[in-house]
Amino acid sequence: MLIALFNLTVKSVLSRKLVFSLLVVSIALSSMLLIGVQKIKHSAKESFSHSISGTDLIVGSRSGDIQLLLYTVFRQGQAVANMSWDSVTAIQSFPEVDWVVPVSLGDSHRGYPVLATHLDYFEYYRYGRKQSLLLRQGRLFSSPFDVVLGYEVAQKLQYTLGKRLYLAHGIAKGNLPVHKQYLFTVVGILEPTGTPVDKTVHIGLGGMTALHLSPQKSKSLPFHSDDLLNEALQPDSVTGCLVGLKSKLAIFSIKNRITQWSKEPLMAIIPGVTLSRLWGSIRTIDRAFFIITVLVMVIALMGLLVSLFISLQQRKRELIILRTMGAHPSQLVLMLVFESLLVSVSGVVLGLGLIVGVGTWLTPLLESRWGLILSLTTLSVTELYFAIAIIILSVLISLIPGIIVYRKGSNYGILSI
Amino acid sequence: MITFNRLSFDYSLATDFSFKLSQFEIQTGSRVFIEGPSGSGKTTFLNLMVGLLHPQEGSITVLGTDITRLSMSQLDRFRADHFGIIFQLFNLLPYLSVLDNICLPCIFSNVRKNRVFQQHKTLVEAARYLCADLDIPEALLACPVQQLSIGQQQRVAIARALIGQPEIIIADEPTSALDNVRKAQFMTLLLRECQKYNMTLLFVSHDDTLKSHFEECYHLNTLNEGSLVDANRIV
Repeated sequence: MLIALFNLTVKSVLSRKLVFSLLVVSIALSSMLLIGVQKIKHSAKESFSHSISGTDLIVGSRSGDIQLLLYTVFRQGQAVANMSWDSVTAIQSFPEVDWVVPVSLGDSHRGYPVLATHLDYFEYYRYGRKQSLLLRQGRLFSSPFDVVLGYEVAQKLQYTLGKRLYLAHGIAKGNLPVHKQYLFTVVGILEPTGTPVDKTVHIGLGGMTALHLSPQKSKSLPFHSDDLLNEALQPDSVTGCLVGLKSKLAIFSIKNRITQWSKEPLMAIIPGVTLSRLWGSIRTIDRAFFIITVLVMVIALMGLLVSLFISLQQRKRELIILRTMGAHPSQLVLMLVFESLLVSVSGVVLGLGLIVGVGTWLTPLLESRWGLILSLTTLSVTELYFAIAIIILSVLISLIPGIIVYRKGSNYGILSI
Repeated sequence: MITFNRLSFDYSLATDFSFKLSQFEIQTGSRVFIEGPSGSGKTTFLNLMVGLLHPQEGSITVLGTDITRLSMSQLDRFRADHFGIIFQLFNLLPYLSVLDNICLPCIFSNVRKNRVFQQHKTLVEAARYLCADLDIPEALLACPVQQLSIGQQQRVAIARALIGQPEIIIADEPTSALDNVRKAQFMTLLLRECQKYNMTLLFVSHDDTLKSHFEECYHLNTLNEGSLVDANRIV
């Protein structure tokens, strides 16, 4: 009986191909939007959470954990104090530590933050799915006055290799005092990453030290040799350092050891944990995404409801014939539910197909242009729940016209035809 | 046998029409013609008999079952099992093929389906047999009914009513849209098939030229004691 009714519904639906197709497309677009919004939300969170990866600890002077994360990873805000170079080398000497990358911040160029670091930064810094920083053009810095630009800096300022530039003291916007004593040269431009690295001007630690030397000390620098110059410009302190460990098991013991560092007040944060806390603190975005999602779903379901009502008017004769043949009103309702199921399942499947199709085309484009990593070709459990929810809600929605059919169906007779 | 006993029905507030029948019987296997002008209650009478309308008083006994005591789902099953209905405009489902239209009543009736399986291996085989009997060309069986001529649609409507051999065939003005030639063809075919399967035929029409085909004829205004119009039993 159920199979026969389902087959009858399929034939009925196929006889209204245009209306059925429009309904399926409407549900497909809504599903695509709904699951797409979820995917973008998920990807945005992923992208945010993976602004830094492969780094086990970030160490800096004692302040707040989010503050330390903000200035070392997102180049936002300023450090309360620096950490000494001695502490950096001491941490480097811990047996559990694999690598340490010191970073210094505080200067800028035309609004873009300057990050002074070691060459190891380009080897160990990871983002996204543990992706390395790659050079798009040129080379990494060798002289203290070489500059490697993030992708966006080069794009927005239209800088090319060989471009010479001054750096400004401070990172605030507006007129800042410019370090006119040293001209820096762009030697490399990085590939886009979708992280704050794209908006960063990278220089060597020596360059940063040189900018802040007194004029007397500057005059005595050995400019004739890069090696001697780098040695002479060894920093006394840095803003913080990124630390990679040989074993993840040592994270908490090293973190505690740094927190209890007696020589100066330091703190260490686990980037992933702090990033999650930071994302959690901006719940408004989450709520906005949720509201958009709910609205999209409501609009799609209302469309389905209206269409079912319109189709009911068109199918009155058909329903009366079936009723006269012996169909119980509940069987007419069941046919309506089957119809809704057909529309919603076809719509959701088409919607998912569209996401995968559009995703296949769009993902590489977004990744290369903006470094935004969208995992559009796979379906997460949450998205699967959303797809199932659309189908279940569609079936529930079809019960509204179903109730009307049940009531009217009880009164259908030969007279009505 | 179909028995109406002290039946009283009205549409409550909808109209002042009422249908009253103190005693009326239709014998098994008989061919009965019910005549009546528009508005005389022909369709009300049929709806009462098949259980699509429920009388306020009285009983309707069909094949030994008082259908006024059945629940809605029991009534639906009873109608599907024991009645074959031919509508005024045939009312074939346009999106179904000829075969699917003929097999349609068996979706809702296991009794009719089982009767089919007593003589045929499948429903389709039974439908093909009926089509052959009713001169519906084999080439048309898979076609949508919309592609059929009026004459062919008539035959499909008869086949749909006959499948599974229900005990009672109800025809509600099936000839009203047909010309005289087609009308005669339809009547010959319908009566032949009802006789063949010993089915009770209840034919309702306002067309009194059809009376000659039937053993018993009644005027609805006579049957309906609630009617204001006086009329006589024809035979």
